[in-house]
Amino acid sequence: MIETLKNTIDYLSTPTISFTVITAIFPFVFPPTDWFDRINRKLKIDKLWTNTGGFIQFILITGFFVLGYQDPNFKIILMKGDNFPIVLMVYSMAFFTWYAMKKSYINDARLDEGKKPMEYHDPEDKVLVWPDLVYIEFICLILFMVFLIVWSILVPAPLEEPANPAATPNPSKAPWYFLGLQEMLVYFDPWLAGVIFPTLIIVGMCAIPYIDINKKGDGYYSFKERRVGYFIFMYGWVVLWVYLIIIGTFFRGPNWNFFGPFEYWDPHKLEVLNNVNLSEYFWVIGLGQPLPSNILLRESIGFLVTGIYLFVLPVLLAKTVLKKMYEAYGPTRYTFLMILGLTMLALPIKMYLRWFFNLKYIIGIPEWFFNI
Amino acid sequence: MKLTKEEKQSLIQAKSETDWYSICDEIKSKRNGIYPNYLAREILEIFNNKFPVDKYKDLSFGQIINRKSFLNWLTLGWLAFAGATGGFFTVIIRFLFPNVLFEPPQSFKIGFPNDFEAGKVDLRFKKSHNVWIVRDDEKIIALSTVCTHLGCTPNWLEADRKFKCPCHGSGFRSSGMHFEGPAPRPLERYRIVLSNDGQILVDKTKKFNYEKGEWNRSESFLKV
Ligand code: FES
Repeated sequence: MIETLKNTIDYLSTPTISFTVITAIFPFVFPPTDWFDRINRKLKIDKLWTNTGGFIQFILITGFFVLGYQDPNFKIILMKGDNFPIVLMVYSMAFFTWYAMKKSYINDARLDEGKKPMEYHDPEDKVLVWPDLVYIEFICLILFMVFLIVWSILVPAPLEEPANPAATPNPSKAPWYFLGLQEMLVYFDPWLAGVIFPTLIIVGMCAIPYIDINKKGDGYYSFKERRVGYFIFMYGWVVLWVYLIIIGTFFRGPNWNFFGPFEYWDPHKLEVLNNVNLSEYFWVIGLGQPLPSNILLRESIGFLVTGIYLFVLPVLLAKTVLKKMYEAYGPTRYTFLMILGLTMLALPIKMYLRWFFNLKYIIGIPEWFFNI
Repeated sequence: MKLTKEEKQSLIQAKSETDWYSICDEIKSKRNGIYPNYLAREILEIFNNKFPVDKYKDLSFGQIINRKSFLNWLTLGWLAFAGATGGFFTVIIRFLFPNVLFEPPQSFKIGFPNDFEAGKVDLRFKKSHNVWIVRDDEKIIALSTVCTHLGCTPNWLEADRKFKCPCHGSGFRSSGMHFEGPAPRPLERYRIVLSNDGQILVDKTKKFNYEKGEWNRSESFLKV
Protein backbone atom coordinates (compact mmCIF):
# COMPACT_ATOMS: atom_id res chain seq x y z
CA MET A 1 0.00 0.00 0.00
CA ILE A 2 2.73 2.46 1.04
CA GLU A 3 4.82 1.17 -1.83
CA THR A 4 2.13 1.89 -4.38
CA LEU A 5 1.68 5.32 -2.89
CA LYS A 6 5.40 5.97 -3.19
CA ASN A 7 5.52 4.70 -6.73
CA THR A 8 2.59 6.91 -7.62
CA ILE A 9 4.31 9.92 -6.10
CA ASP A 10 7.52 9.05 -7.95
CA TYR A 11 5.56 8.78 -11.15
CA LEU A 12 3.63 11.99 -10.59
CA SER A 13 6.74 13.94 -9.77
CA THR A 14 8.28 13.51 -13.20
CA PRO A 15 8.53 17.11 -14.30
CA THR A 16 6.44 16.60 -17.40
CA ILE A 17 3.53 15.51 -15.27
CA SER A 18 3.97 17.52 -12.10
CA PHE A 19 4.74 20.75 -13.91
CA THR A 20 1.76 20.35 -16.21
CA VAL A 21 -0.56 19.46 -13.35
CA ILE A 22 0.54 22.42 -11.25
CA THR A 23 0.23 24.78 -14.19
CA ALA A 24 -3.23 23.48 -15.00
CA ILE A 25 -4.46 23.70 -11.42
CA PHE A 26 -2.97 27.11 -10.80
CA PRO A 27 -5.66 29.35 -12.34
CA PHE A 28 -8.30 27.51 -10.34
CA VAL A 29 -6.49 28.17 -7.10
CA PHE A 30 -5.72 31.82 -7.88
CA PRO A 31 -8.55 32.60 -10.32
CA PRO A 32 -7.62 35.43 -12.67
CA THR A 33 -11.05 35.71 -14.34
CA ASP A 34 -14.70 35.39 -13.39
CA TRP A 35 -15.00 32.02 -15.05
CA PHE A 36 -12.18 30.51 -13.02
CA ASP A 37 -13.54 32.21 -9.95
CA ARG A 38 -16.92 30.56 -10.37
CA ILE A 39 -15.36 27.12 -10.67
CA ASN A 40 -13.05 27.89 -7.80
CA ARG A 41 -16.06 28.58 -5.60
CA LYS A 42 -18.06 25.67 -6.95
CA LEU A 43 -15.26 23.26 -6.15
CA LYS A 44 -14.82 25.00 -2.80
CA ILE A 45 -11.15 25.61 -3.48
CA ASP A 46 -11.53 28.96 -1.76
CA LYS A 47 -11.97 27.00 1.46
CA LEU A 48 -8.19 26.46 1.33
CA TRP A 49 -7.85 29.92 2.77
CA THR A 50 -9.83 29.28 5.92
CA ASN A 51 -8.45 28.01 9.19
CA THR A 52 -9.50 24.46 8.38
CA GLY A 53 -7.97 24.74 4.93
CA GLY A 54 -4.72 25.98 6.39
CA PHE A 55 -4.71 23.12 8.85
CA ILE A 56 -5.25 20.60 6.08
CA GLN A 57 -2.40 22.10 4.07
CA PHE A 58 -0.17 21.84 7.10
CA ILE A 59 -1.13 18.19 7.66
CA LEU A 60 -0.53 17.31 4.00
CA ILE A 61 2.92 18.88 3.86
CA THR A 62 3.92 17.35 7.17
CA GLY A 63 2.49 14.00 6.07
CA PHE A 64 4.64 14.10 2.95
CA PHE A 65 7.78 14.80 4.91
CA VAL A 66 7.00 12.17 7.55
CA LEU A 67 6.32 9.61 4.86
CA GLY A 68 9.47 10.70 3.10
CA TYR A 69 11.51 10.38 6.25
CA GLN A 70 10.55 6.70 6.50
CA ASP A 71 11.96 6.09 3.06
CA PRO A 72 15.69 5.36 2.98
CA ASN A 73 16.31 7.16 -0.32
CA PHE A 74 14.37 10.28 0.51
CA LYS A 75 15.77 10.39 4.02
CA ILE A 76 19.28 10.90 2.64
CA ILE A 77 18.15 13.93 0.69
CA LEU A 78 16.01 15.27 3.50
CA MET A 79 18.74 15.01 6.11
CA LYS A 80 21.36 16.92 4.14
CA GLY A 81 22.24 20.04 6.09
CA ASP A 82 21.84 22.03 2.92
CA ASN A 83 18.25 21.00 2.39
CA PHE A 84 16.85 21.96 5.74
CA PRO A 85 16.17 25.57 4.63
CA ILE A 86 14.07 24.20 1.81
CA VAL A 87 11.85 22.32 4.20
CA LEU A 88 11.48 25.57 6.15
CA MET A 89 10.79 27.40 2.92
CA VAL A 90 8.00 25.01 1.95
CA TYR A 91 6.27 25.64 5.27
CA SER A 92 6.78 29.37 5.41
CA MET A 93 5.75 29.84 1.81
CA ALA A 94 2.55 27.90 2.38
CA PHE A 95 1.90 29.83 5.57
CA PHE A 96 2.35 33.31 4.16
CA THR A 97 0.33 32.54 1.05
CA TRP A 98 -2.43 31.16 3.21
CA TYR A 99 -2.33 34.13 5.57
CA ALA A 100 -2.49 36.74 2.82
CA MET A 101 -5.19 34.88 0.92
CA LYS A 102 -7.28 34.42 4.04
CA LYS A 103 -7.19 38.12 4.85
CA SER A 104 -7.87 38.98 1.22
CA TYR A 105 -10.91 36.77 1.00
CA ILE A 106 -12.35 38.23 4.16
CA ASN A 107 -11.83 41.75 2.84
CA ASP A 108 -13.23 40.88 -0.58
CA ALA A 109 -16.37 39.54 1.04
CA ARG A 110 -16.71 42.70 3.15
CA LEU A 111 -16.24 44.94 0.14
CA ASP A 112 -18.94 43.02 -1.69
CA GLU A 113 -21.29 43.77 1.18
CA GLY A 114 -20.42 47.43 0.88
CA LYS A 115 -18.42 47.50 4.09
CA LYS A 116 -14.95 48.90 4.58
CA PRO A 117 -11.98 46.49 4.65
CA MET A 118 -10.84 45.06 7.98
CA GLU A 119 -7.75 47.20 8.12
CA TYR A 120 -9.86 50.34 8.17
CA HIS A 121 -11.18 49.57 11.63
CA ASP A 122 -8.53 47.17 12.73
CA PRO A 123 -6.10 48.98 14.99
CA GLU A 124 -8.63 50.22 17.53
CA ASP A 125 -5.72 50.33 19.91
CA LYS A 126 -2.98 52.02 17.98
CA VAL A 127 0.45 51.48 19.49
CA LEU A 128 3.55 53.58 19.17
CA VAL A 129 6.55 52.61 17.07
CA TRP A 130 8.80 53.37 19.96
CA PRO A 131 8.74 51.50 22.27
CA ASP A 132 6.04 48.98 21.37
CA LEU A 133 6.98 47.98 17.83
CA VAL A 134 10.72 48.31 18.25
CA TYR A 135 10.55 46.10 21.34
CA ILE A 136 8.71 43.40 19.45
CA GLU A 137 11.24 43.60 16.66
CA PHE A 138 14.08 43.44 19.11
CA ILE A 139 12.66 40.35 20.79
CA CYS A 140 12.16 38.70 17.39
CA LEU A 141 15.73 39.48 16.52
CA ILE A 142 17.02 37.85 19.67
CA LEU A 143 14.85 34.78 19.23
CA PHE A 144 15.99 34.43 15.65
CA MET A 145 19.63 34.71 16.66
CA VAL A 146 19.09 31.98 19.22
CA PHE A 147 17.46 29.84 16.57
CA LEU A 148 20.33 30.38 14.12
CA ILE A 149 22.94 29.58 16.74
CA VAL A 150 21.18 26.43 17.89
CA TRP A 151 20.71 25.36 14.29
CA SER A 152 24.34 25.92 13.40
CA ILE A 153 25.41 23.90 16.43
CA LEU A 154 23.03 21.02 15.82
CA VAL A 155 23.48 20.77 12.06
CA PRO A 156 27.11 21.20 11.08
CA ALA A 157 27.73 23.09 7.87
CA PRO A 158 28.11 20.64 5.01
CA LEU A 159 31.81 21.08 4.42
CA GLU A 160 33.32 18.82 1.82
CA GLU A 161 36.86 17.98 0.80
CA PRO A 162 39.12 20.76 -0.54
CA ALA A 163 38.10 22.09 -3.91
CA ASN A 164 39.56 20.17 -6.80
CA PRO A 165 38.93 21.30 -10.35
CA ALA A 166 39.35 17.76 -11.63
CA ALA A 167 36.63 16.27 -9.46
CA THR A 168 33.24 17.92 -9.65
CA PRO A 169 30.81 16.37 -7.18
CA ASN A 170 28.02 14.50 -8.88
CA PRO A 171 25.41 15.96 -8.86
CA SER A 172 26.85 19.44 -8.48
CA LYS A 173 24.25 21.60 -6.84
CA ALA A 174 24.25 25.34 -6.37
CA PRO A 175 23.26 26.72 -2.96
CA TRP A 176 19.59 26.05 -2.41
CA TYR A 177 18.41 29.57 -3.20
CA PHE A 178 20.08 29.36 -6.63
CA LEU A 179 18.67 25.99 -7.61
CA GLY A 180 15.92 27.72 -9.57
CA LEU A 181 18.61 29.43 -11.61
CA GLN A 182 20.47 26.19 -12.09
CA GLU A 183 17.28 24.59 -13.34
CA MET A 184 16.84 27.42 -15.86
CA LEU A 185 20.40 26.81 -17.03
CA VAL A 186 19.36 23.34 -18.13
CA TYR A 187 17.17 24.90 -20.77
CA PHE A 188 18.99 28.07 -21.70
CA ASP A 189 22.40 29.32 -22.61
CA PRO A 190 24.30 30.84 -19.66
CA TRP A 191 24.07 34.44 -20.89
CA LEU A 192 20.29 34.18 -20.87
CA ALA A 193 19.64 32.06 -17.79
CA GLY A 194 22.55 33.45 -15.82
CA VAL A 195 22.54 37.12 -16.78
CA ILE A 196 19.47 38.36 -18.62
CA PHE A 197 16.80 36.45 -16.70
CA PRO A 198 18.03 37.27 -13.19
CA THR A 199 18.37 40.93 -14.17
CA LEU A 200 14.88 40.95 -15.62
CA ILE A 201 13.49 39.26 -12.51
CA ILE A 202 14.93 41.97 -10.29
CA VAL A 203 14.09 44.84 -12.63
CA GLY A 204 10.63 43.40 -13.12
CA MET A 205 9.91 43.22 -9.42
CA CYS A 206 11.08 46.81 -8.98
CA ALA A 207 8.80 47.76 -11.85
CA ILE A 208 5.63 46.21 -10.42
CA PRO A 209 4.41 49.40 -8.70
CA TYR A 210 4.95 51.38 -11.90
CA ILE A 211 3.19 48.85 -14.08
CA ASP A 212 0.27 48.11 -11.79
CA ILE A 213 -1.18 51.50 -11.02
CA ASN A 214 -4.51 50.30 -9.72
CA LYS A 215 -5.12 52.37 -6.58
CA LYS A 216 -7.66 49.95 -5.18
CA GLY A 217 -6.30 47.50 -2.69
CA ASP A 218 -3.67 49.89 -1.40
CA GLY A 219 -3.18 49.51 2.30
CA TYR A 220 -5.31 46.43 2.79
CA TYR A 221 -5.24 42.80 1.75
CA SER A 222 -7.31 42.13 -1.31
CA PHE A 223 -7.31 39.51 -4.00
CA LYS A 224 -10.11 40.70 -6.23
CA GLU A 225 -8.78 44.16 -6.91
CA ARG A 226 -5.71 42.81 -8.69
CA ARG A 227 -6.36 39.17 -9.36
CA VAL A 228 -4.62 39.06 -12.75
CA GLY A 229 -1.49 40.60 -11.31
CA TYR A 230 -1.67 38.31 -8.33
CA PHE A 231 -2.04 35.30 -10.58
CA ILE A 232 0.91 36.24 -12.77
CA PHE A 233 3.14 37.01 -9.82
CA MET A 234 2.21 33.85 -7.96
CA TYR A 235 2.80 31.75 -11.05
CA GLY A 236 6.22 33.28 -11.56
CA TRP A 237 7.11 32.95 -7.93
CA VAL A 238 5.56 29.68 -6.81
CA VAL A 239 5.89 27.64 -9.98
CA LEU A 240 8.78 29.15 -11.88
CA TRP A 241 10.95 29.80 -8.87
CA VAL A 242 9.99 27.91 -5.73
CA TYR A 243 8.87 24.80 -7.55
CA LEU A 244 12.05 24.77 -9.60
CA ILE A 245 14.02 24.97 -6.36
CA ILE A 246 12.07 22.01 -5.06
CA ILE A 247 12.76 20.09 -8.26
CA GLY A 248 16.42 20.99 -8.04
CA THR A 249 16.64 19.84 -4.44
CA PHE A 250 14.56 16.74 -4.28
CA PHE A 251 14.27 15.50 -7.85
CA ARG A 252 17.68 16.04 -9.40
CA GLY A 253 20.25 13.33 -8.88
CA PRO A 254 23.57 12.20 -10.36
CA ASN A 255 24.34 13.48 -13.83
CA TRP A 256 21.53 15.93 -13.28
CA ASN A 257 18.99 13.27 -14.17
CA PHE A 258 15.46 13.31 -12.82
CA PHE A 259 14.64 11.00 -9.95
CA GLY A 260 11.36 10.64 -8.08
CA PRO A 261 11.71 11.53 -4.40
CA PHE A 262 11.65 7.87 -3.35
CA GLU A 263 13.85 6.59 -6.12
CA TYR A 264 17.41 5.39 -5.56
CA TRP A 265 19.99 7.83 -6.93
CA ASP A 266 21.57 5.51 -9.41
CA PRO A 267 24.56 7.19 -11.07
CA HIS A 268 24.17 4.85 -14.04
CA LYS A 269 20.55 5.66 -14.69
CA LEU A 270 20.41 6.04 -18.41
CA GLU A 271 18.22 8.59 -20.07
CA VAL A 272 18.44 8.57 -23.78
CA LEU A 273 18.31 12.08 -25.05
CA ASN A 274 19.37 13.47 -28.31
CA ASN A 275 18.94 17.17 -28.44
CA VAL A 276 18.45 18.88 -31.74
CA ASN A 277 18.50 22.52 -32.71
CA LEU A 278 15.59 24.08 -34.51
CA SER A 279 17.79 24.72 -37.54
CA GLU A 280 18.50 20.99 -37.81
CA TYR A 281 14.81 20.21 -37.48
CA PHE A 282 14.04 22.60 -40.28
CA TRP A 283 16.84 21.97 -42.78
CA VAL A 284 17.93 18.41 -42.16
CA ILE A 285 14.78 16.68 -40.99
CA GLY A 286 12.20 18.94 -42.62
CA LEU A 287 13.77 19.76 -45.98
CA GLY A 288 16.19 16.86 -46.17
CA GLN A 289 19.23 18.93 -47.04
CA PRO A 290 22.47 19.72 -45.18
CA LEU A 291 22.67 22.80 -42.96
CA PRO A 292 23.43 25.92 -45.00
CA SER A 293 26.92 27.18 -44.37
CA ASN A 294 25.80 30.78 -44.04
CA ILE A 295 25.09 31.23 -40.34
CA LEU A 296 22.30 33.75 -40.74
CA LEU A 297 20.56 31.69 -43.36
CA ARG A 298 20.96 28.59 -41.21
CA GLU A 299 19.35 30.28 -38.22
CA SER A 300 16.84 32.37 -40.17
CA ILE A 301 13.95 30.19 -39.07
CA GLY A 302 14.94 30.64 -35.41
CA PHE A 303 15.18 34.40 -35.83
CA LEU A 304 11.78 34.37 -37.48
CA VAL A 305 10.16 32.43 -34.64
CA THR A 306 11.79 34.58 -31.95
CA GLY A 307 10.88 37.75 -33.82
CA ILE A 308 7.27 36.73 -34.11
CA TYR A 309 7.14 35.79 -30.45
CA LEU A 310 8.72 38.98 -29.15
CA PHE A 311 7.60 41.64 -31.59
CA VAL A 312 4.56 40.52 -33.57
CA LEU A 313 2.69 38.71 -30.84
CA PRO A 314 2.40 41.72 -28.48
CA VAL A 315 1.07 43.88 -31.30
CA LEU A 316 -1.46 41.25 -32.29
CA LEU A 317 -2.56 40.87 -28.69
CA ALA A 318 -2.91 44.62 -28.30
CA LYS A 319 -5.19 44.68 -31.32
CA THR A 320 -7.34 41.74 -30.28
CA VAL A 321 -7.57 40.01 -26.92
CA LEU A 322 -5.79 42.57 -24.81
CA LYS A 323 -7.29 45.61 -26.48
CA LYS A 324 -8.87 46.94 -23.31
CA MET A 325 -5.71 46.43 -21.36
CA TYR A 326 -3.64 48.18 -24.00
CA GLU A 327 -5.92 51.20 -23.84
CA ALA A 328 -5.80 51.29 -20.06
CA TYR A 329 -2.05 50.83 -19.84
CA GLY A 330 -0.79 52.98 -22.69
CA PRO A 331 2.00 51.96 -25.04
CA THR A 332 5.00 52.30 -22.70
CA ARG A 333 3.57 50.43 -19.79
CA TYR A 334 2.10 47.80 -22.09
CA THR A 335 5.44 47.24 -23.82
CA PHE A 336 7.24 46.76 -20.55
CA LEU A 337 4.63 44.39 -19.28
CA MET A 338 4.87 42.39 -22.48
CA ILE A 339 8.66 42.19 -22.42
CA LEU A 340 8.63 40.98 -18.84
CA GLY A 341 5.70 38.64 -19.33
CA LEU A 342 6.94 37.06 -22.52
CA THR A 343 10.42 36.41 -21.12
CA MET A 344 8.83 34.82 -18.09
CA LEU A 345 6.66 32.65 -20.29
CA ALA A 346 9.68 31.68 -22.37
CA LEU A 347 10.85 29.45 -19.53
CA PRO A 348 7.91 27.01 -19.46
CA ILE A 349 7.72 27.12 -23.26
CA LYS A 350 11.35 26.13 -23.58
CA MET A 351 10.95 23.43 -20.94
CA TYR A 352 8.11 21.83 -22.85
CA LEU A 353 9.93 22.08 -26.16
CA ARG A 354 12.88 20.29 -24.58
CA TRP A 355 10.76 17.61 -22.96
CA PHE A 356 8.59 16.79 -25.92
CA PHE A 357 10.68 17.63 -28.96
CA ASN A 358 14.21 17.39 -27.57
CA LEU A 359 14.67 20.88 -28.87
CA LYS A 360 17.96 22.33 -27.76
CA TYR A 361 18.16 25.86 -29.11
CA ILE A 362 15.76 27.90 -31.19
CA ILE A 363 18.60 30.06 -32.38
CA GLY A 364 21.90 28.27 -32.03
CA ILE A 365 25.01 30.15 -33.09
CA PRO A 366 27.85 28.69 -31.03
CA GLU A 367 30.26 30.57 -33.30
CA TRP A 368 29.11 33.84 -31.73
CA PHE A 369 28.14 32.44 -28.33
CA PHE A 370 24.59 33.38 -29.15
CA ASN A 371 22.03 30.72 -28.35
CA ILE A 372 18.41 31.14 -27.42
CA MET B 1 -19.55 56.52 19.10
CA LYS B 2 -18.94 59.53 16.93
CA LEU B 3 -18.51 63.08 18.20
CA THR B 4 -21.71 64.80 19.11
CA LYS B 5 -22.49 68.34 17.99
CA GLU B 6 -21.77 69.81 21.41
CA GLU B 7 -18.47 68.02 21.69
CA LYS B 8 -17.43 69.30 18.33
CA GLN B 9 -18.39 72.83 19.28
CA SER B 10 -16.49 72.71 22.54
CA LEU B 11 -13.42 71.37 20.76
CA ILE B 12 -13.55 74.13 18.19
CA GLN B 13 -13.93 76.75 20.87
CA ALA B 14 -11.17 75.48 23.15
CA LYS B 15 -9.02 78.44 24.13
CA SER B 16 -5.63 76.88 24.66
CA GLU B 17 -3.96 73.51 24.22
CA THR B 18 -4.39 72.62 27.90
CA ASP B 19 -8.05 73.31 27.48
CA TRP B 20 -8.12 71.18 24.40
CA TYR B 21 -6.61 68.18 26.13
CA SER B 22 -8.96 68.34 29.06
CA ILE B 23 -11.88 68.35 26.62
CA CYS B 24 -10.36 65.35 24.87
CA ASP B 25 -10.04 63.51 28.15
CA GLU B 26 -13.64 64.25 28.91
CA ILE B 27 -14.68 62.84 25.54
CA LYS B 28 -12.71 59.70 26.22
CA SER B 29 -14.05 59.22 29.68
CA LYS B 30 -17.59 59.42 28.32
CA ARG B 31 -16.69 56.40 26.19
CA ASN B 32 -15.08 54.38 28.98
CA GLY B 33 -11.63 55.40 27.83
CA ILE B 34 -11.99 53.80 24.43
CA TYR B 35 -10.50 55.91 21.67
CA PRO B 36 -11.11 54.21 18.34
CA ASN B 37 -9.61 55.16 15.03
CA TYR B 38 -12.48 56.99 13.48
CA LEU B 39 -12.82 59.14 16.56
CA ALA B 40 -9.14 59.98 16.50
CA ARG B 41 -9.43 60.93 12.85
CA GLU B 42 -12.29 63.31 13.59
CA ILE B 43 -10.55 64.95 16.48
CA LEU B 44 -7.28 65.24 14.62
CA GLU B 45 -8.99 67.01 11.76
CA ILE B 46 -10.39 69.65 14.07
CA PHE B 47 -7.04 70.00 15.76
CA ASN B 48 -5.22 70.56 12.50
CA ASN B 49 -7.67 73.25 11.47
CA LYS B 50 -7.42 74.96 14.81
CA PHE B 51 -3.69 74.91 15.40
CA PRO B 52 -2.00 74.85 12.02
CA VAL B 53 1.56 73.70 12.50
CA ASP B 54 4.41 75.88 11.46
CA LYS B 55 6.92 73.30 10.39
CA TYR B 56 9.79 75.71 10.07
CA LYS B 57 9.40 77.52 13.36
CA ASP B 58 12.06 75.70 15.34
CA LEU B 59 14.54 75.33 12.56
CA SER B 60 17.65 77.45 13.02
CA PHE B 61 21.13 77.15 11.63
CA GLY B 62 23.46 76.75 14.60
CA GLN B 63 26.62 78.74 14.49
CA ILE B 64 27.71 79.98 11.12
CA ILE B 65 31.18 78.97 9.96
CA ASN B 66 33.19 81.48 8.00
CA ARG B 67 34.71 80.81 4.60
CA LYS B 68 38.26 80.22 5.79
CA SER B 69 37.51 77.60 8.37
CA PHE B 70 35.10 75.98 5.95
CA LEU B 71 37.88 75.57 3.40
CA ASN B 72 40.18 74.21 6.08
CA TRP B 73 37.69 71.61 7.09
CA LEU B 74 37.01 70.73 3.49
CA THR B 75 40.69 70.14 2.77
CA LEU B 76 41.10 68.06 5.86
CA GLY B 77 38.04 66.00 5.03
CA TRP B 78 39.16 65.38 1.48
CA LEU B 79 42.66 64.40 2.55
CA ALA B 80 41.30 61.93 5.06
CA PHE B 81 38.91 60.52 2.47
CA ALA B 82 41.61 60.20 -0.19
CA GLY B 83 43.96 58.56 2.29
CA ALA B 84 41.38 56.02 3.40
CA THR B 85 40.29 55.16 -0.14
CA GLY B 86 43.87 54.97 -1.35
CA GLY B 87 44.81 52.60 1.44
CA PHE B 88 41.75 50.51 0.82
CA PHE B 89 42.47 50.11 -2.88
CA THR B 90 46.14 49.36 -2.28
CA VAL B 91 45.15 46.50 -0.03
CA ILE B 92 42.55 45.25 -2.51
CA ILE B 93 44.95 45.33 -5.42
CA ARG B 94 47.62 43.56 -3.42
CA PHE B 95 45.04 40.92 -2.63
CA LEU B 96 44.55 40.21 -6.32
CA PHE B 97 48.09 38.91 -6.70
CA PRO B 98 48.60 35.43 -5.28
CA ASN B 99 51.43 34.73 -2.87
CA VAL B 100 52.34 31.48 -4.57
CA LEU B 101 51.61 30.76 -8.17
CA PHE B 102 51.36 27.19 -9.29
CA GLU B 103 50.65 26.59 -12.94
CA PRO B 104 51.51 23.36 -14.66
CA PRO B 105 53.36 23.80 -17.95
CA GLN B 106 51.05 24.47 -20.87
CA SER B 107 52.68 21.87 -23.09
CA PHE B 108 53.77 18.49 -21.84
CA LYS B 109 54.63 14.99 -22.97
CA ILE B 110 52.27 12.18 -22.19
CA GLY B 111 54.09 9.06 -23.41
CA PHE B 112 54.23 6.99 -26.57
CA PRO B 113 51.28 6.33 -28.86
CA ASN B 114 51.33 2.65 -27.93
CA ASP B 115 50.65 3.54 -24.30
CA PHE B 116 47.10 4.31 -25.34
CA GLU B 117 44.61 1.64 -26.15
CA ALA B 118 42.28 2.09 -29.08
CA GLY B 119 38.71 2.83 -28.08
CA LYS B 120 39.70 3.95 -24.60
CA VAL B 121 39.38 7.28 -22.85
CA ASP B 122 42.48 7.96 -20.81
CA LEU B 123 41.74 9.72 -17.55
CA ARG B 124 45.31 9.92 -16.22
CA PHE B 125 45.89 13.53 -17.21
CA LYS B 126 42.54 14.82 -16.07
CA LYS B 127 43.66 15.85 -12.65
CA SER B 128 47.13 17.18 -13.47
CA HIS B 129 46.53 18.84 -16.82
CA ASN B 130 42.78 18.93 -17.40
CA VAL B 131 42.84 16.87 -20.59
CA TRP B 132 41.40 13.57 -21.65
CA ILE B 133 43.37 11.57 -24.18
CA VAL B 134 41.09 9.57 -26.46
CA ARG B 135 42.33 7.07 -28.99
CA ASP B 136 40.12 5.48 -31.59
CA ASP B 137 41.02 3.31 -34.56
CA GLU B 138 42.80 5.94 -36.56
CA LYS B 139 43.74 8.85 -34.32
CA ILE B 140 44.53 10.21 -30.88
CA ILE B 141 42.98 13.45 -29.64
CA ALA B 142 43.39 15.62 -26.55
CA LEU B 143 40.07 16.87 -25.21
CA SER B 144 39.62 19.77 -22.83
CA THR B 145 37.82 18.80 -19.61
CA VAL B 146 35.84 22.04 -19.48
CA CYS B 147 32.14 21.69 -20.21
CA THR B 148 31.21 24.15 -22.93
CA HIS B 149 28.02 25.11 -21.15
CA LEU B 150 29.21 26.73 -17.96
CA GLY B 151 32.59 25.18 -17.23
CA CYS B 152 32.04 22.25 -14.87
CA THR B 153 34.12 19.10 -15.29
CA PRO B 154 32.11 16.25 -16.81
CA ASN B 155 32.63 12.63 -15.77
CA TRP B 156 33.45 9.82 -18.16
CA LEU B 157 30.85 7.08 -17.84
CA GLU B 158 32.42 3.96 -19.27
CA ALA B 159 29.18 1.99 -19.30
CA ASP B 160 27.29 4.56 -21.34
CA ARG B 161 30.40 5.63 -23.24
CA LYS B 162 29.83 9.32 -22.75
CA PHE B 163 31.03 12.30 -20.80
CA LYS B 164 28.23 13.51 -18.57
CA CYS B 165 28.27 16.86 -16.86
CA PRO B 166 27.01 16.83 -13.25
CA CYS B 167 25.91 20.47 -13.31
CA HIS B 168 23.14 20.66 -15.89
CA GLY B 169 23.36 17.28 -17.54
CA SER B 170 25.15 17.97 -20.81
CA GLY B 171 26.45 14.83 -22.52
CA PHE B 172 29.38 14.43 -24.91
CA ARG B 173 30.55 11.48 -26.94
CA SER B 174 34.12 10.28 -26.63
CA SER B 175 34.93 12.33 -29.71
CA GLY B 176 33.91 15.42 -27.75
CA MET B 177 30.72 15.87 -29.74
CA HIS B 178 27.80 17.24 -27.71
CA PHE B 179 24.52 15.41 -28.04
CA GLU B 180 22.35 16.05 -24.98
CA GLY B 181 21.68 18.75 -22.45
CA PRO B 182 22.26 22.45 -22.83
CA ALA B 183 25.91 22.56 -23.98
CA PRO B 184 25.90 24.57 -27.23
CA ARG B 185 29.19 23.31 -28.68
CA PRO B 186 31.42 20.24 -28.51
CA LEU B 187 34.36 19.98 -26.12
CA GLU B 188 37.46 21.79 -27.30
CA ARG B 189 40.49 19.88 -28.59
CA TYR B 190 44.10 20.78 -27.95
CA ARG B 191 47.05 20.66 -30.30
CA ILE B 192 48.63 17.21 -30.28
CA VAL B 193 51.86 16.27 -32.12
CA LEU B 194 54.72 13.79 -31.99
CA SER B 195 57.89 15.21 -30.52
CA ASN B 196 61.41 14.29 -31.65
CA ASP B 197 61.85 11.49 -29.14
CA GLY B 198 58.68 9.77 -30.35
CA GLN B 199 56.56 10.85 -27.40
CA ILE B 200 53.25 12.59 -27.77
CA LEU B 201 53.26 16.29 -26.99
CA VAL B 202 50.06 18.05 -25.95
CA ASP B 203 50.05 21.81 -26.32
CA LYS B 204 47.24 23.58 -24.51
CA THR B 205 48.02 27.01 -25.88
CA LYS B 206 46.41 26.08 -29.19
CA LYS B 207 42.76 25.11 -29.28
CA PHE B 208 40.67 23.62 -32.05
CA ASN B 209 36.94 24.32 -32.07
CA TYR B 210 34.53 22.22 -34.01
CA GLU B 211 32.09 25.05 -34.68
CA LYS B 212 34.85 26.95 -36.46
CA GLY B 213 35.58 23.90 -38.59
CA GLU B 214 38.98 23.32 -37.04
CA TRP B 215 38.70 19.65 -36.19
CA ASN B 216 40.19 18.51 -39.47
CA ARG B 217 43.24 20.75 -39.21
CA SER B 218 46.49 18.86 -39.18
CA GLU B 219 47.57 19.20 -35.56
CA SER B 220 44.18 18.82 -33.94
CA PHE B 221 44.63 15.04 -33.94
CA LEU B 222 47.45 12.55 -34.24
CA LYS B 223 47.18 9.89 -36.91
CA VAL B 224 48.25 6.43 -35.77
S1 FES C 1 28.26 23.23 -16.96
FE1 FES C 1 28.15 21.31 -17.92
S2 FES C 1 26.05 21.19 -18.28
FE2 FES C 1 26.17 23.17 -17.46
